[in-house]
Amino acid sequence: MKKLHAQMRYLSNRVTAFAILLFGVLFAILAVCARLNSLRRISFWLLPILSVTILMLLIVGWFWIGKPYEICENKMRRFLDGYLMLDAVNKDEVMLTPFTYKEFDKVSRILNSSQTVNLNKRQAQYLALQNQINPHFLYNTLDGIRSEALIAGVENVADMTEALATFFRYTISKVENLVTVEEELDNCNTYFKIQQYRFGNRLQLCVETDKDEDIMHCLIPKLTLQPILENSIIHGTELKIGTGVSTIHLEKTQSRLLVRVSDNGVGMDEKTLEALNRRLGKSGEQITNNEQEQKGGIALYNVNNRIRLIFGEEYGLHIYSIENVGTDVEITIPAITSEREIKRGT
Amino acid sequence: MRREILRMERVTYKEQGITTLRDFELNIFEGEILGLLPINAYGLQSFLRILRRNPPLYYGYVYYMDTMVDSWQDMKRRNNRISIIGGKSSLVDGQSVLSNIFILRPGFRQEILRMNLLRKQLQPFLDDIGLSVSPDTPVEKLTVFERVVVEILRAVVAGDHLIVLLEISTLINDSEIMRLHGIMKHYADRGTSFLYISPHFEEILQICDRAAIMTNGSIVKMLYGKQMNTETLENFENEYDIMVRSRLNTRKHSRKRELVFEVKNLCGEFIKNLNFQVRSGECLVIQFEDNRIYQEFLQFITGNKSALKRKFFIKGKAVNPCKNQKMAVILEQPGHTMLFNTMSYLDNLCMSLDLRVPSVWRNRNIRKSIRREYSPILGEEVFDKKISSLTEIEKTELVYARIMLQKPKIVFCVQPFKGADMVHRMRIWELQEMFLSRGISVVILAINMADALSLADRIIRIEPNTTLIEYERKDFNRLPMNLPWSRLYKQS
Repeated sequence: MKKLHAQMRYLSNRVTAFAILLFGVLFAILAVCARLNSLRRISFWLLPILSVTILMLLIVGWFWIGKPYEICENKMRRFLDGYLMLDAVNKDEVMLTPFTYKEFDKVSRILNSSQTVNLNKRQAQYLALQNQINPHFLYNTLDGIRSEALIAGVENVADMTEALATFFRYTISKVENLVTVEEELDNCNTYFKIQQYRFGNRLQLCVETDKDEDIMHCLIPKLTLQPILENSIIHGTELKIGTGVSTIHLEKTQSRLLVRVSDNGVGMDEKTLEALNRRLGKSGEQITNNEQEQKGGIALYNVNNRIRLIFGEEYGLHIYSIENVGTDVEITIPAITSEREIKRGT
Repeated sequence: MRREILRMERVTYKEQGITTLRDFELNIFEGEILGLLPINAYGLQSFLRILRRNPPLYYGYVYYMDTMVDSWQDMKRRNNRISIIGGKSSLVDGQSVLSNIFILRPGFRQEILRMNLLRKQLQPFLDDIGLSVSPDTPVEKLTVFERVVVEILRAVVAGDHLIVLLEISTLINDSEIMRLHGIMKHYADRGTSFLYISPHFEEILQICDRAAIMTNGSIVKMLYGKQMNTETLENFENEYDIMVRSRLNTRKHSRKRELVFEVKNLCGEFIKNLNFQVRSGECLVIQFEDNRIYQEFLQFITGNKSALKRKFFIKGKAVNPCKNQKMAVILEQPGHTMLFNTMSYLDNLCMSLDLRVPSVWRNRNIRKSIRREYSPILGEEVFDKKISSLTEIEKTELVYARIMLQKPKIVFCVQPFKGADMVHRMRIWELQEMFLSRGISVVILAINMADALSLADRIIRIEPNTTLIEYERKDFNRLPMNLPWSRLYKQS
């Protein structure tokens, strides 16, 4: 019985079973008609019974085959359109044939694998430094520069070097996928400190959080905020005449953590915004297509892909922008304080 | 922690294969009054449909009270407990206020109606917001303001967590808007959330702390804190702004023009001794502070109510407003109220020409020459389209062209900018400007000033006791700063 139930998960088998049922019913109807004909009797009950039987067959056909087929087709269409469907690939769901099930299962396993997550994480780290430099050599050298600067009395250089070393330590050596919001904010502050040596007072950073203390202990994928802050400085405030203000706003709802990285920079036109958001929405294309990543916009897509791979497709990034007003990047992740709360294991 | 009432996550929605919402993201918190500014109306109706009915999505998720109510994977259709209040009443006519609020609400299970008890239960709600309406008043006898408040009250009593207000300012006057804002703040403090949809940012600024800017079926920006000022959106209205400013600079304003139209001692049930004059090529805006006076005046000029003789004069001659081709009226949303779907485009265009050219229906050549004359203005292809397949702008252009053919001396435009998005509003503005340039006087009848201020040469405010307050162009800088376009006059 269990085996039969499992076989009925496939629409191909359902169609066969339904066809057999249909032939059986038709055969029975024909047999009854033939019998009535031989007896030269016409039953007035025949028409209503026939109508009810056909209606029931149609209903069974719709709920057993039609609707599951529609759902299945919709999912495939969205998948081909580039949308990521991590939750949609479910073992209990009705599939077209055993072969399509195997195909979907394989795609699902590839998308959900820790390899994919780690691949995206690695890409988020600085490309120039990736696997090229021995991190300890780099830290020791930076510490050496800092000591020399202190001896020479150049405190600015010493502070800058210290900030750079702290930044690299966090970026390269910290191996966890998830860190606390507090740690991410510290890294942003370090990064901003380095940038301020370049831009001086032209650049300001403002961090706004609501009164909820829990927010600092919530977990967030590592290197989520800093690449976005970097984008906001490079593409937003740097190009602006006058003082540019970048703001990180954190807010917690019943189930989500909302982080908004805003700037009052040059913003972007509607077409660029639409294209960016479309690419962020269709992250399936980004994960499988490395070609597009090389064209630019690596940071945003990487962060978005990692969030969706870790937490699910209903989370991720969205961009709002108006030319000459500014840009907001809104990050949505589940509000969790422990890795055990993640639905999707990495 | 803030509670989210509504969350729309990457919603892409298609209607008949056309994408009307794309990557639409919006969230509304508990007790928040969020403004929504549609720069164009594209996708707005789809958004409202999703709020009401949860139709199948192409992609995305909708959460209400943190529960997923709609997603691209889920095909169940359930209605959300969200009230949408707009121009059309959703109250049941023939029933009292009490019945609409308590008895007809979903979830009312009492089989024996204890009306006295219900009346007692309703009274604290009415007292709370200072609304003096008898619970037994039939809803069709309520004023527009009372109807809107009763709909809000019904939503609150039914436990709806989100109330959507759709272009409310086109229905009620300034003082009523202030009262309504007070009521909204009162309920927002108690946890009810509001989505305030208005095409005018100045209006949103009066009541909202946060605003979403919608264009082409997407939210392009959320505005917070310091961004909530009129300068933020100057870019969006740049084209419109340039157009208006150029007119301000080029148009001559002189009171020496000849007198075209006059209303003398007009009296009715609510109107008491109304007098005003309109000059040739002048744009006069009449703003009504009392909805009943507005409705009655509208009835007089459309012929639904007859005034005593010798009240309306054109060039000194007494006229009957509805039977005189020198006077025309363009109703609210003319694309829906002034066109005949079963007739062709050309027939709709020539409709009011028969008084001027009686042979228009017999002589094909006249109609052909009209087509030739108006093709450059309206476009050649529209003449072969069905009325139902015209866009809103094309419908409006057709009505205005019909009036132009009629060649009246004066045109009354009833709330011309109501329900129109920015591109549509610009076109209406241009068409009205065309009337003015041809020497036709334009009288805009409005509850709310909206874009009328950008075109006006003179404004008359009619107070509830029919007292007139007149503003000449030089006095426009005395108007409240929160009115759309008032900044033009502050600067100049």
